[in-house]
Amino acid sequence: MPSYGNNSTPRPIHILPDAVASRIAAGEVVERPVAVVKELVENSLDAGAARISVDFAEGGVRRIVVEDDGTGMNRDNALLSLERHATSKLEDAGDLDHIASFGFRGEALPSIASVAHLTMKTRDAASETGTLVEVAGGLVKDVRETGAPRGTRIEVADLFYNVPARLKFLKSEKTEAAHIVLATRLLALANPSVAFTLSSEGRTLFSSPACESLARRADEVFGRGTASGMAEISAEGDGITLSGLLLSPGTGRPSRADLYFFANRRSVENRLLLSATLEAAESFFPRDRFPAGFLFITIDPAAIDVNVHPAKREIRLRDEAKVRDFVLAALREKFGELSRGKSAQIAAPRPAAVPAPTLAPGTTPRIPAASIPTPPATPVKAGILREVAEPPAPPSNLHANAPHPAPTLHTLPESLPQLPSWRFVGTLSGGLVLFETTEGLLVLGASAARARIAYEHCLADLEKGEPVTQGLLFPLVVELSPAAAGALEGGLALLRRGGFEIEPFGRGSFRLSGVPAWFPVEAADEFIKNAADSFAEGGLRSARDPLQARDTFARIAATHAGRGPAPADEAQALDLASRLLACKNPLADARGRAAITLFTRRELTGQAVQRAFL
Amino acid sequence: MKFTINRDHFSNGLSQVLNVVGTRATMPILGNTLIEAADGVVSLTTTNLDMSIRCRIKAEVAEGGSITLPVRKLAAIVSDLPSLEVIVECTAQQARITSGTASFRIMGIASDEFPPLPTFADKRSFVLKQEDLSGMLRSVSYAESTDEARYIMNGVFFSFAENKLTLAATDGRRLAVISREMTVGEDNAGSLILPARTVAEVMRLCGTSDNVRIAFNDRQAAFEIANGASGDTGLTDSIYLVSKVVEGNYPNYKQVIPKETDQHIRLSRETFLNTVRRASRVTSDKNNSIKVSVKSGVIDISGSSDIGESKVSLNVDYTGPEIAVAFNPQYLMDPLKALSRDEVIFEFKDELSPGVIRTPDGFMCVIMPLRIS
Ligand SMILES: Nc1ncnc2c1ncn2[C@@H]1O[C@H](COP(=O)(O)OP(=O)(O)OP(=O)(O)O)[C@@H](O)[C@H]1O
Ligand SMILES: [Mg+2]
Repeated sequence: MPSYGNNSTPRPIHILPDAVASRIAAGEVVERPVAVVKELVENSLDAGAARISVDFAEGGVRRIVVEDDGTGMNRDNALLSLERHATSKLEDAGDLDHIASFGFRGEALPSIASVAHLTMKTRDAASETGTLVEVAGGLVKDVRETGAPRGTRIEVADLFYNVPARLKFLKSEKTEAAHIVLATRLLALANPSVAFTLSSEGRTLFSSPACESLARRADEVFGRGTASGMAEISAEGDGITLSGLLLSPGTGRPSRADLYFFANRRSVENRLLLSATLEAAESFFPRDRFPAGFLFITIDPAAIDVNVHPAKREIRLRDEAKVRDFVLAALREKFGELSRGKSAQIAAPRPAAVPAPTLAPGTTPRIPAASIPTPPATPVKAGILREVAEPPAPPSNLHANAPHPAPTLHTLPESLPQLPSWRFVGTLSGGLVLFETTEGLLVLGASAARARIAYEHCLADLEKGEPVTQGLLFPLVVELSPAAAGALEGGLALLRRGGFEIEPFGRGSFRLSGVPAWFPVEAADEFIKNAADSFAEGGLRSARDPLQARDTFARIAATHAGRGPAPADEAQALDLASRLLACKNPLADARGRAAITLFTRRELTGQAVQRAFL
Repeated sequence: MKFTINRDHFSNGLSQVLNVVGTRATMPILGNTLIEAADGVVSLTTTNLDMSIRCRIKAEVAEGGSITLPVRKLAAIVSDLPSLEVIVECTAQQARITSGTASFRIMGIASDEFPPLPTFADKRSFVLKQEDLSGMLRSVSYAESTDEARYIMNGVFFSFAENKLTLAATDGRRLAVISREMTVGEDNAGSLILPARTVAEVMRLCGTSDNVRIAFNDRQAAFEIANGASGDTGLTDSIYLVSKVVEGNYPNYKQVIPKETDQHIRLSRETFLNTVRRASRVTSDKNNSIKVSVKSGVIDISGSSDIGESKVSLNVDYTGPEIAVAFNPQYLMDPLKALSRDEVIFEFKDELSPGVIRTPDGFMCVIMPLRIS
């Protein structure tokens, strides 16, 4: 975005007329040290710097120095920049509607200068010597010529020395430092073509050259491994571009703290972007687990209002619905793509040469050594085609059963589920199943896998509202406490939509005469009780948030359906695996337990393993 | 203890009792077979505490006595001995087995630690043909529930009453029932639930000839399975199997048997089975159902899922109204596979009512439909 101005000729600074100044979101610009860093770095970016360094001491209170190689200023502009409402970035009030620079108010430098000792050293390309200005408490103490490289260096010392009340409100030095580090990281991440260095008290916290890729930048700035598991995405449409790094579907992160949003490269907190992202992630991450990433939307500056928060932390989107719809759709698609990609890697075939079993029979009794190695499973597809195409059985001696002459109908599309051609290695206690593929070792958690399958069935049934219900020979009568019974009454519609045939049976009991076909009858009693509790707690209050109610319902149902032992043999194991792979998100169940995980060959031959075995 | 025994007889005996072993680490003796020798007979006993089994083999007993030895290991050794003549000599805790040029010394556990076979006053007892019992069990046992939470249904219900033996099994979604006539004295009438594992073992042990005697009380059931005349097995006497029964009240299955069935079709069992199987090839885990649609002269069995669709038709002798009912195809196939008669009768009423597969010899399977809203 610092497209404004070119690298050599700074635009003149002028004082905004009152009419414009009065329209600017008023409030405290400098609340804490991090605000100083942010304002100064944004100025450097606006000045077209190629290299910015930030140094601070004692949480920024003692000293903050930001140095850049941008346009710099001549003596007049340097002095003017310290005046209120002095800016080079805004001409008239109309400009407020399409702000393309970080700064626009002409407020930052004077605000900082009024609460600290500020020393500015700057030179623009046209000046032969640089200018040094010293300000304290808002008053210029000294102006003199000095030798200086082109660019600007601003040092802010003794922040809030004249506002003791502010000082008292500051958090610990460590906390303030942490804020500075995060803010600088985000600024660096959003501007990968600018070289950034952050240091404090003699230690370099990060130092990144200009980077071509965002992933590289994330690793440089946030530390190695930040981008692992994330993919670079970009999508465009409707005048909006969405790009950035996105965590692949899977088990996700425990909080939403690793989700960062940027609007026109400005780090923002925005409820709308957050909710759209969480919604898009819904079927790809377990509930209570969250996506992560760095998401940038780029949009016509006119479509965004940054003039709403004195510290510019928030933005207002002029067409919220449009942005939300776009982000939601784009992210859903990306999550889908990433999930398919990951599943494809998981679905890799068995290794070409099946090695002889390395586990001696008897040493690990849980592994059915007898079933290793096994011939490759016959592809299901061929089997189906053969069976359906087979002529009907010869007529029996019962004349009435002669095959009907009408041709059999078979519409068999290409996408028949294939049993994965993985090599079944065996089972471990805890319901784990091991497979080997060309990619490495797959570990499948049987109960999480079953729960995931059941969860998606259940959600699909709830969505379509046309569940298949298995009638029960012996209807089940579930007895509930009066409170739970009352709550369950309110949720009967949801249960029925999910395929449970249930009706009140008098005195707090309910009669269950059918369960969804995928649901294990044995879990029904406990499930109904859990569901009633959940209704009572409001977790399933369907009227308010049907989507969430369905999800909660599906999660409870799936958990009950997931229980049971590990598959007994290879056929069962492969069957479970193929059903899992047919899921939208096969990686984890709705509670975040891993359903299937790949340990790549690289990981398996990694150091720890090598040390142990080689 | 010392006896000489035919290798193949010994091996055969061991294979009868081999299945019933306990796996508890705390009771290693449950992995052993109790060997007792006396009066020209060697008896082999195993138990897992829920079920015990004993067989007797003829042998030349030079010196009576007893020991317990690991049954799996022993069976593997005996079946692989080089000579037909096997000599077994034991002290209290170890055995020496000699056969031709091979000899083994095997560590055992003293026989007094072996849990005694339960004895009980068999209040009720019945005799029937092994073939009939195993056939009846096969006709119903697939419908047992495998869900441990519904332990009452984890087995086959036996009822001796009204001059009939009736067996029933259900998992709550289908019910299989078979009965046959037999004399049941008034004070002999009664019922029991035989656990699934015992059912499987009884089916395995029953041959095609000879009788089996069933005796039971409220807690246990015993089966005396006479040894078949086929070949020289070395078995003397009957195989004796005692099992705990499942204690509790079996669900009242009679009340779910449809009273009047509106429509019925006679079908060749095999054709029906093939038709259902073909149609079910496109069902998926997500939609494991097939639709049975009957109209004048035709049954159409169709399946559909995200995989695709199938429709397989059969000409039948039917003139009733058009009716379509959906089922889990497995529930139709299970009885059709287990039965052996050529012809079955398929009965139905409407899409909400159960379907019934019946044979004229007292078998029926009631199958709850799938309701698709
Ligand atoms: N590092 C810098 N390099 C070159 N010019 C600068 C630099 N910092 C500030 N300036 C000039 O000083 C002016 C005032 O800066 P200041 O940060 O106070 O206001 P602003 O950036 O215009 O608006 P805002 O208050 O929204 O930040 C800027 O408009 C710019 O012309
Ligand atoms: Mg500024």
